[in-house]
Amino acid sequence: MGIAARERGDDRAGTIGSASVAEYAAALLAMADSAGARLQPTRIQLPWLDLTVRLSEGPLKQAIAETIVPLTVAAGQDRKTLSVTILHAGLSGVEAPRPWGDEPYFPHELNRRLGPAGLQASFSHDQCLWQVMSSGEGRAVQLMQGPEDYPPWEPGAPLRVFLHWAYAAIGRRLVHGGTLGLDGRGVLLAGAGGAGKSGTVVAGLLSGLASVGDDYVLVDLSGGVSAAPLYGTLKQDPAGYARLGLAERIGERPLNWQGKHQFHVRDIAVGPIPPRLGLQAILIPKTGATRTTLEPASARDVLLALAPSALWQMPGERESGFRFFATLAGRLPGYVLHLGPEPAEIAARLRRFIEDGRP
Amino acid sequence: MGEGSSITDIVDPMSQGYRVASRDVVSESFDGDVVVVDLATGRYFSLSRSAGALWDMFGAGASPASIGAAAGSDPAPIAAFAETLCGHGLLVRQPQGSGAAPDLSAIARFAAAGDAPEVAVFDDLAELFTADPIHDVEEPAGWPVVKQG
Repeated sequence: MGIAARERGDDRAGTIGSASVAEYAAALLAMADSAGARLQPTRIQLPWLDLTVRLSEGPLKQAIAETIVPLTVAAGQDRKTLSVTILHAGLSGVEAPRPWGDEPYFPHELNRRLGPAGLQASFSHDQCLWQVMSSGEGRAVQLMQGPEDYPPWEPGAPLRVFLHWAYAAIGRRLVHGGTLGLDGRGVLLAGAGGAGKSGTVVAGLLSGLASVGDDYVLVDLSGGVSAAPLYGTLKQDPAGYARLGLAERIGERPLNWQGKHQFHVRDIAVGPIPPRLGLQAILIPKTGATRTTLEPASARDVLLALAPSALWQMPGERESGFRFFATLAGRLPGYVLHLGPEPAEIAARLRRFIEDGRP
Repeated sequence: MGEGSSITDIVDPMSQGYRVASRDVVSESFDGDVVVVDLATGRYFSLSRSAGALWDMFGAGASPASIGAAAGSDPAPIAAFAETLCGHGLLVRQPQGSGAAPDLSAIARFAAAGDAPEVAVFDDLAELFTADPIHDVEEPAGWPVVKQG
């Protein structure tokens, strides 16, 4: 913390506030440069992004290796680089993260303040964890109190915040939704938790459809609308796990922090995860029907299903996200997917829809 | 101005103008279906077709009186709807008005809409948006929610 910040009075007891956050963020990036040099890099090719991650051995490194889906096709041109260093107190040259002070903390206001410095930042109070990124420089740092002091959802979608910032900077977005497809074409399933999205994705995979992911997928609007995989994570609560016959197929899996079984697309998919799906519709699942049907939905309804959770779950500036989701909602036809009770019937109806390109 | 009065007391509500309340209030239109979101509060608003046309005209500074005159409509319900939007924090009054004439294509959409100007509010996430996620929230089975009690 510099003298100027102290003189402004926002360094009380070593805490961070709106006046000192830009300076602190820059200091964390500098710390990552020096301390991170001692950590072994892991390199992962993703769509449009060459990712390098430096972190200690442990569960988070294991989660990155197990859940992130690397690019399986030629990388192509027009790629960005992102170097993420994950540090924790106790590593050589690493200071403990400083907590946010008494000042109210509002993520989008914080990032408005940091924007002119080319920085983005997020602070997780419960873990006293900082995530800082310079999108222009392709550098990022996560500073934790200990090697496992990260949010409980992090292992399901590790580096989610950094990938969100990196892709938002190049006009693409992580979308909170599931996908199903066939022969390179597919649908995006969006909606609130508990609406049947994840169960539908699993039912489709079990019937031989493909998926580029559930929970978070990367959506690109350049040219046609497409989705690409970032994470292979699938989750089902015990009731869904039983209903879909997953225990018989892949055995019992431990419950995650949400009390859900967590597994991977490759555990149940017939083929490899495709590198992309050309999206032809957005479906809003709803449970409770006696058989599976599709009912046209307005772009307005699609936007209301897509945007709220995505905007809330991703820290930082929100308007460009709202505009992105509005464009997405306007580019594809939308349908309410009324879900019947039988997974095989749901999957068969979706297969017909994807093959025909219309209900 | 006399004691106890405000500028809104002496301005004709039909002729005053409005503007979008802040840069956090953004909207998108899909063939006349308008969605407005307040990025600061997390509230989403879905406007009926006539309301969407009015939203565009209010945002451009047109007064209820000018809209009513151009559309051949009673300006009173138009002014009442503007006040409803003010109540939701989407518009603020501009007592001096901008003098802007309403856009003719928006007038045509308003006249053709055939519905009443109405706004539906979706505030499921509002508590989350307005909460200070550091000081006011805790982890539930999913994502942070506002602490209770």
